[in-house]
Order: sequence, then structure tokens, then C-alpha cells
Amino acid sequence: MGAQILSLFPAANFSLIAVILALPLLGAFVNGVWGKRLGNDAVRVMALSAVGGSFLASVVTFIALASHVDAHIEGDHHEHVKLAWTAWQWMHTKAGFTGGNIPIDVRFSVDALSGVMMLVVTGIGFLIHLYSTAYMAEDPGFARFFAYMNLFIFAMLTLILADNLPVLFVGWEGVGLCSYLLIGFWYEKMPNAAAGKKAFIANRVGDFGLICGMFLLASYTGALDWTGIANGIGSLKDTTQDAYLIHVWPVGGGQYQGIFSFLQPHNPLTITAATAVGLALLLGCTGKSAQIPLYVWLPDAMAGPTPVSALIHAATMVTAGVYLICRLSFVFTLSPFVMMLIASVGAATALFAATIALVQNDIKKVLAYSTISQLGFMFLGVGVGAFTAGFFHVFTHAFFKACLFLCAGSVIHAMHARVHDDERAQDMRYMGALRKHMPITYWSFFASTLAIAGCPLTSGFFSKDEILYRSWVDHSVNPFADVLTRQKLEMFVPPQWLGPALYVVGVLAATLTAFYMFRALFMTFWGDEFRGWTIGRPSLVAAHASDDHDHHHDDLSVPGAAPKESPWQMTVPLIILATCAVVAGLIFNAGPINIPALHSMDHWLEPVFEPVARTVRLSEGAEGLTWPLAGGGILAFIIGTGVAYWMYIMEAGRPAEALADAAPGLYRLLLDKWRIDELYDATIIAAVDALADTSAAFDQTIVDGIVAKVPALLVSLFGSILRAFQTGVVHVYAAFMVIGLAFFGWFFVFPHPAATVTAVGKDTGDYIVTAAPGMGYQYRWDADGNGQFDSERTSDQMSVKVHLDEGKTQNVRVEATSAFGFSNSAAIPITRAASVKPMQLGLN
Amino acid sequence: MLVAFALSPLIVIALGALLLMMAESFSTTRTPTRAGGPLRTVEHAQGLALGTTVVFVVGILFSAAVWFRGVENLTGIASVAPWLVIDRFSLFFDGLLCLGGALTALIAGGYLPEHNLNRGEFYTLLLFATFGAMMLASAGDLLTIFLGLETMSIGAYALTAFRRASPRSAEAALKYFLLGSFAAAILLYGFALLYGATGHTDLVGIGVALAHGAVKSPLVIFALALVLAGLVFKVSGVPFHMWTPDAYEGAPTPATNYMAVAVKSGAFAMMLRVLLTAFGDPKSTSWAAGWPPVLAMVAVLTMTVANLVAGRQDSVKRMLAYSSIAHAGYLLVGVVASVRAAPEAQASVLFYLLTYTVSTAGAFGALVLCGSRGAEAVSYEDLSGIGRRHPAAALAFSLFLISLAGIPPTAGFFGKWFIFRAAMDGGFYWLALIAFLNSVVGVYYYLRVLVYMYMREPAAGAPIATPMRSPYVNAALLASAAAVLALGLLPTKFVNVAIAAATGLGG
Amino acid sequence: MTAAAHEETSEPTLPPAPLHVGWREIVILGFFGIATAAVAKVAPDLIPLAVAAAVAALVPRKHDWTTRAVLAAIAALLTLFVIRMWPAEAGVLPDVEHPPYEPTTLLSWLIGLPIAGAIAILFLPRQTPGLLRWVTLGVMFATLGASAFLLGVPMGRGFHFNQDIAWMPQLGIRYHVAVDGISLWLLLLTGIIMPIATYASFGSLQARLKDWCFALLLLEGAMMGALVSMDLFLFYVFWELMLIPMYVMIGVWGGSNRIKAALKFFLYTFFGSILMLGAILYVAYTYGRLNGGALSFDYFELQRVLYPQHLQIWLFGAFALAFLIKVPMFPFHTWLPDAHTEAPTAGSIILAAVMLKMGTYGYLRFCMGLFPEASIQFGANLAGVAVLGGILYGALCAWRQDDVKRVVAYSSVAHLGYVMLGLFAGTSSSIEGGVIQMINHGISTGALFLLVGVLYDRRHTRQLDEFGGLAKVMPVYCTLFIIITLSSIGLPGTNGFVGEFMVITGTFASNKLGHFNGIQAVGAALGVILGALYMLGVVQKVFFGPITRKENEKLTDINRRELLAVSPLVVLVFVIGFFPNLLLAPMHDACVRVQDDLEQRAAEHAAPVFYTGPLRLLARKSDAPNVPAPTSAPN
Repeated sequence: MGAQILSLFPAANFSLIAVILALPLLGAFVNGVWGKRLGNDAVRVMALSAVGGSFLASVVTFIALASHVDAHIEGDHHEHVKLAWTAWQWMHTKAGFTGGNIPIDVRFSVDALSGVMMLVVTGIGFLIHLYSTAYMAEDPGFARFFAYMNLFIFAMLTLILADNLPVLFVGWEGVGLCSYLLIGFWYEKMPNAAAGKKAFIANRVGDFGLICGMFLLASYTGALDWTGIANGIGSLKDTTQDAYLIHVWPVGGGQYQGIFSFLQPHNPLTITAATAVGLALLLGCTGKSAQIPLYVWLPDAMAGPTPVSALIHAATMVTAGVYLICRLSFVFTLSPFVMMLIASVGAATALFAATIALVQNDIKKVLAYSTISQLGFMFLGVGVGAFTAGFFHVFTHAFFKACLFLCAGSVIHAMHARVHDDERAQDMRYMGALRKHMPITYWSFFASTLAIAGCPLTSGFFSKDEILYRSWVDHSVNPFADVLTRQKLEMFVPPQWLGPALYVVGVLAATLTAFYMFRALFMTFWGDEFRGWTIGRPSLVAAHASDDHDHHHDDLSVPGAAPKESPWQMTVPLIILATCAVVAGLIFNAGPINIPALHSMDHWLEPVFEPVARTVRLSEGAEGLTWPLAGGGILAFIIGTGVAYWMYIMEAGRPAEALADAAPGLYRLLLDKWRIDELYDATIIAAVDALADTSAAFDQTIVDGIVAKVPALLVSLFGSILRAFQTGVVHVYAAFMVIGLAFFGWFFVFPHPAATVTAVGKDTGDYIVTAAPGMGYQYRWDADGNGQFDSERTSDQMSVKVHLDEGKTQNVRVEATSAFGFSNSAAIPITRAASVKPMQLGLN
Repeated sequence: MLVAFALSPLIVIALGALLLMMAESFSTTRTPTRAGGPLRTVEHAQGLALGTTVVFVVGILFSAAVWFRGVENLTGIASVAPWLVIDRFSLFFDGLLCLGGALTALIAGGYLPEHNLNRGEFYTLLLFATFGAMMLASAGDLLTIFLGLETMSIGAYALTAFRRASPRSAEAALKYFLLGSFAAAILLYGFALLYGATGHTDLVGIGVALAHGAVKSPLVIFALALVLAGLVFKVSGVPFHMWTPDAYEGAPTPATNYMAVAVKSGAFAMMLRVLLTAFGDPKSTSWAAGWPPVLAMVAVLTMTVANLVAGRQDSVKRMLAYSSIAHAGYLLVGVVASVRAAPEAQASVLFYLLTYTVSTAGAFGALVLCGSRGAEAVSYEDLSGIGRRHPAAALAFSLFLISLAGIPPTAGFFGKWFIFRAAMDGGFYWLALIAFLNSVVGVYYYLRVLVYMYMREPAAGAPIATPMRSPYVNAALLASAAAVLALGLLPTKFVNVAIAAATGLGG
Repeated sequence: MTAAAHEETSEPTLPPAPLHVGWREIVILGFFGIATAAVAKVAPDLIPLAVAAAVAALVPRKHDWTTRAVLAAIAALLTLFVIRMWPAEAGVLPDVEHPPYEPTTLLSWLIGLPIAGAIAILFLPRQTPGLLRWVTLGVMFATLGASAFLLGVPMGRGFHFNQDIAWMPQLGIRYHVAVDGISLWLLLLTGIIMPIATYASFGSLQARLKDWCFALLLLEGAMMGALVSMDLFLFYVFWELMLIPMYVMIGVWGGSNRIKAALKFFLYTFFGSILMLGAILYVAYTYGRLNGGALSFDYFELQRVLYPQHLQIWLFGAFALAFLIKVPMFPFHTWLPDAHTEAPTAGSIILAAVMLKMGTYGYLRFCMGLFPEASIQFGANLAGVAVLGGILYGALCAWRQDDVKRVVAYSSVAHLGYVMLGLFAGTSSSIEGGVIQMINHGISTGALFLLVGVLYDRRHTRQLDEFGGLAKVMPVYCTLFIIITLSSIGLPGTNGFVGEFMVITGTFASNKLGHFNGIQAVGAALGVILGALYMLGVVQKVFFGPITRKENEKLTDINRRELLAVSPLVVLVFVIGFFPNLLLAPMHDACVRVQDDLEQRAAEHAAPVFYTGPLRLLARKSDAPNVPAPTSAPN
């Protein structure tokens, strides 16, 4: 089958990609422009068909890709192949300091990596669209919602399928935009709008890093498309010439003179281009994937509708950062320092977010922080060089986290039927015992919880334990070690204890994960009585049904109907996703137990990460450590689950309260998310604010004052002063005339000697000094510059001849005596420059 | 006969003056009572205005005729030299002065009846003053210079005092007269010393004598200082300018216009001729100790002071007075430059005078048009909202002001262009720079008029100057506007004329 | 509010139309999609018609046929534009036998039509507003149509449509106009912006319509002239001629504090340009001295003069000051916010979209063209000013403004910082980025001012805290505003990104910025964050949150006139965003030429002390149009 497809669409010009991209865009356009008039049914059809069609096309593409891969297999090594499609030439830019212009095309390609992502996005995207058709059914902004959602799918696909960095950037910012629009979907509430803005700005900070990465790559590797970068990475580590070193301080490697010289450090801080690129891109990835320090936007992003949280803020968009790191793995691995940084950031984020999730009561907040934590795991994975493992976690996480969010949505939906206060509708303290009322939701939630907690044989187990295992045993090595050692340049080597430390942190985070996820499960679904409102007998409910809509806010004590299971549009996606969450690991994992019929993930991704394989070295005896280290993960699951069970089921939550009372400060701190937002507000944001205030004030007062106000003031001032002389009294006028006349007289009576110097010939050293003529002037000269006038008496001699040697200076003085006998003298310094050739011009 | 032809411009004006005097003196009813007075009077006065204009135009035509006939072909002119030097320079000024006179006459033709000053002497004085100015422009001898100067000045004094009823007018005239005669005395004293020192009264002779240096220096130096002072007074350069604003403001607007346009041109003609012919020797023109540095100093002062003060005026008329002083400053820059960049520099002065004449006359004409009897437009407030009430006049006014401000594509821009060009050509960069900066200041107060005309509405209850209507003034405005645009877009011909004239003078 | 207004507001709240109606559009869309594809196969020339039909059919029913017609026309024109400029076709070299037809008088038409129109306006009766409006618009569209011919000629490195007539021979002043790949786009921008601004202004402006039309046409003529003048004198004449109409527009139709703002605007610019006048004179006479007394103000002749350093620095300074004030660049930018706040909507649009470009264009053409060494030497320093004082400082100031127009004004300072940075960096791609950023700024800022004007017409205030929650009452307006905002903050896919990206990458790859190219590129990239900060702040304050004020609840959504005015700009945002090559391809060679000229001279005389020899006359540049050099003039 794949062969026929390939015969239809050649791999070099695989225009089927256009369909994958165009359908969601079309859907967004139609729903956006005419949605209001089309009506909800049409909108629903349009949206679903768009994403569904895109999904089908993706499947077809994937089949073609698979057969294409198989075609290029020899032995067990198969090379890296892709299906590419070039739309048009977009623009061009300058490559490098010497290089010419490189074209930047709108070009898309599908390879093993993007193929998987593509399927995930379109597949899960379709399910969530289906889910949303029911979830958003009541919302007035139905069409707008689906326009945004389709637009998001389009942007995400652009991000994934892009064949070069700028096009990826289009998708990168596109998904940011959609997330901005969808977080602020209910824009009447100011907090939502603010949250959207916060997300956009935080992402922009990341995008700043990405832009820097782009121009660094363009300048150093002379390319921006994946293949070109891969070919040009040599220069990133080229420390032989200064142009390829980044001088961080002093900026650009300049030397400070004068008063700033004290800023001059003894040994300038210089990094290789590879590290610079890595850091820049990493900043971008932390922004998009909500890692420390830029994670703060994700929790607030929960202000958006729940399906949005599931699609954008759990399954797809937030994993873009990990995707980019995998995509440019061969760039990141050039700098062990950046790799270590990625791993550390990941581990830290995983633990940090998990601690916050421990105490949250809002079900979506718990899931949000668990998302951040899981993303931390992914970063940890790719950071230690286990790209396959990291990406595999992206893959599995997409299923169970999407499922969890959709379940939460389903619960909130049910709660919302009665509780119309958002806060309360999402608060787990008002839930409980829902497993009786909404079994499907419960079972899917349960399955996904097992997966995320890393219960053996579920998908989460395989991916997470692979990461933990690799974080212990992997050591990234500098691929350019030999070059650096040859140049006697000190080379960064990550410390030995790093691996074990990362492992421990990871296991700790895994334990917490198991705990808080089961806590959420228990608080929401278990327990004996439902805490939302009193559930009355159907008859009573029927009695109340009439005036239900009047006073349901005020007292929830009035018995109401039991929370209902959601309609099929919502439950079907739950079931599918839950199933995947459980079995995906079994099918695709890299470990010993999997179904070998299909490509296992690492076998499938091998060509993508083949170039970086040699930069990662397993510590000796790694094979032996497989099961012991896996034990850590299993232990984490058991402990976390057990504690949660003991606390919330056996003891019905009393220990939790006891703990909270025991350490109230810590509890508050965790509840307030370590008050990081407040910290940022107090430091960075406050600083920028102050800066802006200062410059605005400075602009109005100083700049405008000096450039505009002061001169105007001076002019009018002098005008007034001069005007004051215009008294209208004739004597004054006459007096001024006399003064003027006197000035004239003075000027003529007193001599004003001056002289001009002309060189004789070309650089002969002879100069002729000619005095300025004046009526009745007599002159005396001091040509040799000895301070004595050459003659006692004055004469009509108007000029003298002087000879100078090279580089000499002589002070010729002339004294003029006016016809009235007044005399005055002036000095004329003459300098003959030391012999310099006048610059010869090459041109004509 | 050829002599008569060569002198025909002067003769035409003189005869015209006499004829008009006859016609005017034989007519009845000198003093029309008030508006709507005897119709005959008005007719007759306007006839005078028309007649004067015709005379001036004929003067222009004759000077043009002589010009095209070519002075070199006029053998007889040697006989009147050096008392009267008929060269392209003087012919250019004859034409220019007649132009100024004609425009003044037209403006007066509208202004006088409107403001109840409709007495025929005005035109006669106008013609005689112009005759004096033309004589001044072509005089090559100290005696004829003084003769022409006084003829011109006395006419100007009388014109200033023309509004007998108004004490301001009288006061202005008196100041003008006192200071003017003071300056004349200074000048005369300088002439005397010059004669004593050189034994010559003709400029060429003086020049030759000075060039050979066989002169008693102290006398010459004093003479130079005194003559310079006299000349600077006539062109109203700082610090000899202070009479100007009062005189200009006090005088009836046509007279103001005449002083600003014709008197100034005549003075500059005299200045160029005297300085470049008599004091053209290297010692006198020495950049260290001659008259150029002094004149440069005066130029700087004149531009700066005038521009700064002009910005602080409330009366448009007074502002225009100061602006005329400022323009004198720019012209002085040209005069200074002419010691190095002949003949372009003199040409630039001549051309500037031409552009300045049409722009200023137009501006005063527009100002006249904006007011009416009892409510003459004088202050800025009077002009508020004119753009709405009298769009044509406002548009014309704006055009002339833009030209005075030196913004392309108008005559004024080219005037400045050539002056600055001459200065830079002569290497007087700092002088040019100061002139540049001054023209920025100048723009401010010219645009202020636009602000009031277009962007302000008269304050509630304020007396509104209702515009008047007069075919004469309209004609003057049309002519000036045409000239301003023509000089702005296609100055080539006129530049050639100016250069030819300047070459005739010989630096 | 009238009943009609009620109609408009209540329209969106109608119950959603039944399904079968909704399918219509989808079907039509699909049909036309197929039709277009088919047409593209058989008769490519018919594509615009197909597109026009599609658009006309798909316009929401709310609008009547006139709207459809105009929108269809716009769509067709843009499609035609896209097809004509498609890289594949634009790249085709002209065959030597049949060089493309270059009417030498075309540029004179572009200048003459508006000015003739202005004069014609003077003679139209004041009492017939309709006539005045239509004449004005007609003339402007005629100019636009004429400027479309410019696209017919592949530009390459050289100059085209040369017209060179002796104006004042013995002064060396000629009427020489020509266009190259750079000024081409600014001309088209002017041609597009002017009718838009005019049309939009007719909605809200009634007072003194005649003077208004006169000013607009005169302004357009002057701007066109300044863009094509290849004679410095001619350039100066047009440069000054631009001032008066804009001055009057601000001063007469402006806001409460208009007179001060107008004077400030005028004096700032005049101060700069008078110094430039001096420099022009000096340059011309220097040339004359070198050329045996034969003066010339011709750009290509003056390019031949090689000045020693001290001279060149002064001349460069005089020119640069004039242009940097116009741009405006820190610290000469304070006239801009005042002028914008006081100017009427159309005035702001023209001022921002076209007039500011005169500064950047002038710097690119004259400073870099006449004084290459000096512009390299000082570009390195000025680039710092562009980044700190323009991109970052301007953005921070914009963030703190509470008047929407002031925000946009300061954002202009920031955006033009990018342009100037691109020019200072002096690499081909950064220059291209700078030029395309000029166009982008013209489009997005013009559109922003247009939209702000819409708001102002309804509420007569622009204070941010007066608004809030408008997205509910003005959905269409909100959408458009957000689109333009995104283009203004350089979201990829919109035009803004292309310019910023090319400028930043070009800056980093520049070798003319000392060793500060890196930090300056990073600083420019930082501007991306700040841009989002202040623009999204505006969007949030104006559109989101609950409606806080009663008077905002009754606001009517954007009406047909305003929609028509802004729609071309919105379309252009995406056209340029996705197909920047349409613009880049024709301008590329010209920008490379600029870079080559710079680097050739830099290679011969390296900074900091580049050339100290005597004044010299170099050979005429090979790219210069072959016009005979002036011979010694009579006199």
C-alpha cells in the first residue's frame, strides 16, 4: 500500500502534506468567518471533518513513510529518510559573516520523529474535538472556539512538519497565539485575559531565545533547515578562529579604554558557539514547555476551557520544546554543559512541580502541575542523552494526560450542571464518591492514573523508568574532545555524581507523582458520600426541577439530582485514550517485554538519533543495573500509592490535615506555589516597570526639554530682552548709532594683524607668510620665531619666507602698526608634518 | 539723443511726477470728507493711482529698452559719467525701483480711499522719491549720490507723515527725519573727508587713488567708518536700525511698503556701488582689517537681533518691519561675500532684492486687503479666521509669507539659495551657518501668521477686521504672486539678468 | 444612536441561521476552489476574475453589492499583484530584443497627477463636497493605477524610468527622476496609503473639505516627488514642499493642542533640512570645483566625489541630522507623539505610513550613497542608538502611555529603530529587512491609526481607561485590531516578522558594527518581547474584561466605509507575511548594490581614519543611468 502512495506522491515532493495542513486551516477559516451564521451543527461538521480528514491523511502519510523507511533498510541499520514537500520560497537571509544569502523556503517534511508527533496531534486532536462538541455545546462562542481549535491544529502541524527553523517558528508562535486566544476564551473575565497575556509574554521570552538561536545558527552553520544545520555544525565547535567564539564579557571581546577599564576582567568569559546556540534554544524550549524558570504561565493557563487544557497544555503544545530538543539533538549534544543544564532543569522542575501538586485542591491545578512535572521528566530524559526515552514519554504522556484532563472536564461538566461557581465546580473537596455516578469517567481516570504513577506494565511505567534508568547510567561526552585538547582549551566535563543525583531526584518526583495522583483519584471518585450537594430522591428533584434555575447558587443544601455521566461524545474519547494509556507502553516500549510485531520506538527512531548516539556513553556495567534501577521506579509507585491510600482512604484524610497543622508555614507555601509568581512580580517585573516609568518620565522632561523646550525658551527670552531696548525714545536710538559708529572707528583705528601661510612647491619645507593688508598698515616680522622682531622699524614688507625641517613647528609673529601709530601683533604657528605619503587611491 | 534715451527711465519718472503734480493740483476738492464723499474725488484719486502705475510701468519698459539696446552701444553716456553712470547695474535697479513703486501705487490706490487719506500728493511724492532712488542707483559721484539720497529720503519722510491726523504717523516721521538727517550728516562728513583725502568726488577716481595707496590714511579711515555708518543706517542694519520699526508701524501701510521695498533697494544699490567702486582696493576689502569684517559683524547682528525680536511682536506690521531688517541682514551677507565671489555675490544681492520686493509688496498688499476703514488689520488677532472669511487674500498672504520664509518652490527660497551659495562660494561658512539658523527662527513668526489666519477663530466679541475689496490691490497681489511663483520655478532668466547687471558693476 | 445603528448591533445577536444556508458558503468555496484550480490550468489570466467572483459570493450577506464589488476588486488586484510578482515570473530576465517598455514620463505622471489635481481642486466650488471627494479619490486612484506600471519592469541593480531634463542649466540643476528596486516599493506604498487615508477621512471630516483635499493631493505629489528625485536640489524642493500641507493638516484639523504640535513638527523638520540645504550647496560646489566649474546636483555625479574624512564627517552630519529628525530617532523623536496625538486620523496615517519613511529612505539613498565611509564609521555608533534609544527605549515609553495614539507613536519609534538598525548594519539582508520593514510599518501602523480613528469617532477619546470589554460589542473591529496588532508585534506569518527577522539576522552577520553586532542583534531581539508587552496591554485594556462604562455598551461595530478602508491593509499583512519574496525579489539586487558600494569604498579606506587625501573625483558608478555628465556651463 505504501508503495502505491509513494508512486502517487514522490518522496521528494510529497504534496499530501499540503492536505494535512490545509484542512484544519480551512476549518479555522470557515468557522471563523461564517461560523456565527452557519450554526452549531455546521460548525461541528466543519471542525470534525477538518481534523478527521487531516488525521486520515496523516495515517496515509505515515504508512507511506513506513514503507519508505523499509525500502531504505540494509541490515539492521536504516538511514534517515524523510518525505518532503516545498510549498514556495519564503524569504532569504545572510548566511554567516562571509557567506552569501541562503533561501528560506516554506518547506515541510515528515520523518520518523515528526511522523509520530503528527499522528499524536491529529489523532488526539480529533478525539478532543469530538469531546468538545459536547462539552462546549452550550457556549455562545461555539464557532469561535472551534475556529481557534482548528487553527491550533494547523499551527501545531506546521511546527511539527516544518523542515527549517523559521517555518517551525511560524508554528511555534502560532500555537502560542492560539493558546493565548483560547486561555482568554472567556474574555469577559479579566483574570482569563490576563492569564492569556501572561502565557503569551512568557512564551515570547522563550521566543526571544529561539530568535537568537536562529541567527546564531544561520551565521555559524550557514543554514536553517535541518539537513543544512546537520552538515554545518562543524563550525559551531570551531574554536580555531575568533569569529566562532562568543565573547560574553567583555561584550564582543572588545577592550575597554578609559574610565571603563575597571570593567575589564582578567580572563574574558568566552563560550563556544555551540554552547551559545544551545542556551538560546533551551530558553525557547523552557518557555514553550513550561520549565523552570518560565513555567509560571501554565498553571494560570487552566483558565481556558478544559478541552483546551487537555489538547494544548497537556498533550501537544507544551511538548513542542522536547520535540525541538529531539529535532536538533545533534546541536545540543555538541555542548555537554547545555545537556547537563537541560537534565538539571528537567529534574528540578519535576520535583518542584510535584511538591506543589501535593496540596492543590483544584483538580485542574493538580493536573497542571503534574503536567509540568512530567515535562520535567521528559527534559531529564533528553538532557541525559536518552532522546528516545524522552520522546517516548512525550508519546505516552500525550495519552494519559489528555485522558486525565478530559476526565476532569467530564467531572467538572457534571458538577457544573448544579454548581455554577467555577472555583467550587473544580474543587475536589466538594467531590467524592463519583465512581458510583460516572463509572466510565472513573475507570478511564483510574487507568490513566495508574499509567502516570508508573504502575508496571502501563505505558507510563515503561517510559518513565527508561528515563530514570538512563539518567543514572548515561554520560554525555564532548564530541569535539580531541579538537579541544589539541588546542589546550579547558573542556567542560559534567561531574560524576550527576547521574545518581538525577536518578534520586527523579525517583523522589515519581513517588510524589504517584501520591498526588492517587490523592486526586481518591478525593474525586472514592469515599462514600458525595460532598458537592445533597442528592435527593428523584421525586424531590422533580419537584425542585421547576425552580431549580432560580436559587441553585445560594443553597446547595437543597437536594439535587445526582451528577450524571457525560454523553457519548465525551466518554468515547475517554475510553480510547485510557486504552492507549494502558497498552501503548506494552506495544512500543524499548524494554525486554514488548510486542515485536511493530517497530519498537527506539528502533523506529534510531535513524533520527543515530548521529548523537556516539556522544552518549553508558557507564560500565549498565546492563546489570537494568532491573535494580527499574526497582526504584516500582518502589516509587508502591510507596506513593500506599501512602495516598493510607492517608485518604484508611484514615479518610485526617493525616493530611494533621500534617498541614503540624507545618502550617510549609503548607501555605506549597499551597501558594512557593510564591514564585510573587517573587517574579517583586523582582523582574518590578524592575521592568520601574525602567519603563523612568524612561517615560525621562522622555517627557529631559529629552523633550533639552531638545525642544530650552531652545524655544532661550529664543523668546533673548527676543524679549532685545525688544526692551526698543523704547521709542529718539535719544536712545541715536545713542546706539553713536555706539555703532564708535565700534567702526575702533575697529579701523586699532590694527588687526593676521597672516596666511602658503607652502612653496610640494613639501619643500619653504613657506611664505603673507600679512593681511590693511589701510595704512606697517609691519614688523619675527620670521625665525625667536621672540625678537627682526627689525626695529616697521616697513611695508607684507610677506616673509620661512623654511622648516620635517616635523618642526615655528611661531612666526607679525606686528602691524596702524596709521594712528597703534600697533598689535599676532603669532602664526607653522608646522611641517613629518613625512607621510598622501594615501594613494586604488580606484581609477 | 542717445543720452536722452539712456536717461529715459529717469526722465520718464521725472516727467510723470511733474505731470501728475499738475493734474492733481488743478483738480478741485482736496479733502474728501469721508467715505461716500464726493464721488468725483475718489474717481480722480484712483485715476492718479492708475496714472502713477502707468508711469512706473513705462519706466520699467524704458529701462528694459535701454537694457536690450545695450549700454555698450550707447556712445553718449560717457558725457554724463561719472555723475550718472548708466550701466546694466543701474538699469536693473531702475526697473526694480519702478516695479516697487508700481506695486506701492497699486496698493495705495486701494488703501488711501478706504482709509480716507485720498490725497493726490501721495503719488507725486512716490514718483519723486523713486526718481531720487533711481538717481541714487546710477550715481557715480559723491555729489549726485547725496542728491539722490536726499531726494529719496525727503519723499520717504513725507510719505511716512502722510497720515497727518494720526499722531503716531507724525511721531514716526519725526523720528525717521531726525535720525535720517543725523545719518545723512554722518555720510556727508564721510564724503567730505574722502574728498579731502583723495581729491576726488567720483567713485572711480577715489577707488584708483586708494588702490595706489598714495593717500593720507587717517582721513580715509575715518571717512570709511563714517560712510559705512551712513550706508548701514540707510539699509537699517543693527545697531542703526532702531528707527525702522517705529517708522514702519507709524506710516500708512503703502508708505511702509515703499520704504521696505524701494528705499531699501536704493540704499543697497548705493552701498554696493560705493563700497565696491570706491573701497574696492585690496586694503579696504582686507578680510582682516577692511570693511568686510565690520559689515559681516553688522550682518550677523542684524539677522539675529531682528529675527529674535520679530518673534516677540504682536503687530503684524511691526513683525514685517523687523523681518525687513532681517532680510537686510541676509543681503549684507551677500554684500560681504561679493568681495570674494564676484560677480555671483552681487548678482545674488540683486536677485534677492527682486524676490524680496515682490514678496514684501505682496505681503503688505495682503495685509491691506485684510483690513478696512476703521478696522485696519494690524495685530495677529485681527487676522484670526481670515482664512475662512477671505480665503483668496489668506492664500495670497500665505504664499508671500512662505516666500519670505524661504521655503521652496517660491521666489524667496531662491533668493536665500543664491545668497547662501555666494557666501559658501566665498568661503564664509560660519556666516552662512548663522544665516541658516536665523532662517529657522524666521520661519517661526511667518508661520504664526498662518496659524492665526487658518487655525484660530477671532475671540468672542473681539473687533473683527472685515476685509476690503479693491481691484488695485488685487492687481498688485496677482502681479506679485505671479512673480513669486515665476521666480520660484523658473528663475534662470532672472538670474542671468542679475548676473549681467552685477558684471556691469564690476567688483 | 439611530435605528440603523441598532440594526448593526443587533445583527450578531440573531439566532444562528439554519443549517442549509450555512452550507452554501462551503459549497461555493469548494466550487470556486476547484474552478480556480481548473482555470489556472487552462487560462491563468482568468484567476483574478475567479478569485474576485469567489470573494464577492462569500462576503457575508449583511453587506450589500457595493461592498462586495469593492472587496472583489481589491481581491482581484491583489491576486493579479501576486501572480505578476510570483518569484518564478519575476525572476525571468527581459530578452534583449524586446526590453520592457519604460515610458520615461511615467514618474512625472506620478508627481504631476496629484499636483494637477490639487490645483484643479482650487477651482472647484466649495459647496460641492461630493464632487471634491470624488475628484480627490479619482486622482489618487489614477496615480495608483499609473504606479502599477512600475511593476512591469524588472528592476535589477540599476535605475529605471529615467527622465532627465535641464531645469536651470547654468546652475547645474536638473529635473532628474528615476526609480530603483528600493524606492519602487515606497512609491507603491504611498499610492496605496493615500487613497485609503483619504477615503477613511471622508467619513469623519466635514470642515473645510476643499482645503483638506487640496492639502492631501499636494502632499501626495510632494512625497512621490521626494521619492523619485535623483537631483539633490529637486529632492530638497519636494522635501520642503511636504512640510506645508502636513503642517496645515495638523494645525487646522487637529486636536485641542494642535497649533503647538504643528509648529513643533515644522520647526524640528525645518531645522534639520536647512542644515541639509547647506550641505547640499557645499557638495554641489565642491563638485563644481573638481569638475572645472561645471556644477551639478545630480545624485550620480555627486556620488563620484571622494571627500577627506574631516569634510565627509561634517557633510554626513548635516544630511544625517535632517533624516534622523524625520525618522525620528532618539533624541529627536519627541515631536512625533505630539504630532500624532494632535493630527487628524488621516494625517496620522500618512505621517506614520509614508512621511517617516522619507527619513529612512533619505538616509539610505543619500547618506549611505554619498558618504559611504562616514556612514560606515558612524553607523556602528548610531546602531547603538537605534537599539537602545529606538527599539528598547521607544518600546518602554510606549508601554507607559495611556493614550492609544501615543502608544502607537512610540511603537513607531521602536519599529523605525529596526529599520535604521538594518540600514546601519549595512548587510544586504539587513538592508532588505530594513526596506521591507518600512513597508510593514507603513501598513501596520497605518492600519492601527485607522482603527484608533474608528474608536475616536465613536467615543471622542483615546484614553485607554475609557474602554474595556469592547470585544463584546465590536467583534469584527476587535478581530481586525488584533490581526494588525499581531502584525505590529511581528508574529511570524504576518508581515512584521519578515522584516524583523531579516534585520536581526543581517545585523548579527554584519561586519560594520565593530564587535557589537552580537549584542545589538540580541538587543533587537529583546524588542520582540517588549513589543508584545505594550501592544497586548492595549488589546487587553481595550477589548477584554467586562464592559466598565455605560457609554461603551451602545458602540456600533466597524461600518462599511471603515471596513473597506482597512481591508486592503489587512490583506497585505498576510500577503507580505507569507509571500515576502514578491517584494524581496525586485529589491534584492538594489540592496546588494548598496551593500557593494559601501563595502567597496570601505575596502579602500578603512575606518577610523578612512581617507585624508585631497578631494578627488572618482569614476561614475556602473549602475548609474547613462546620462551625460554636465559640461562647463555658460557664464
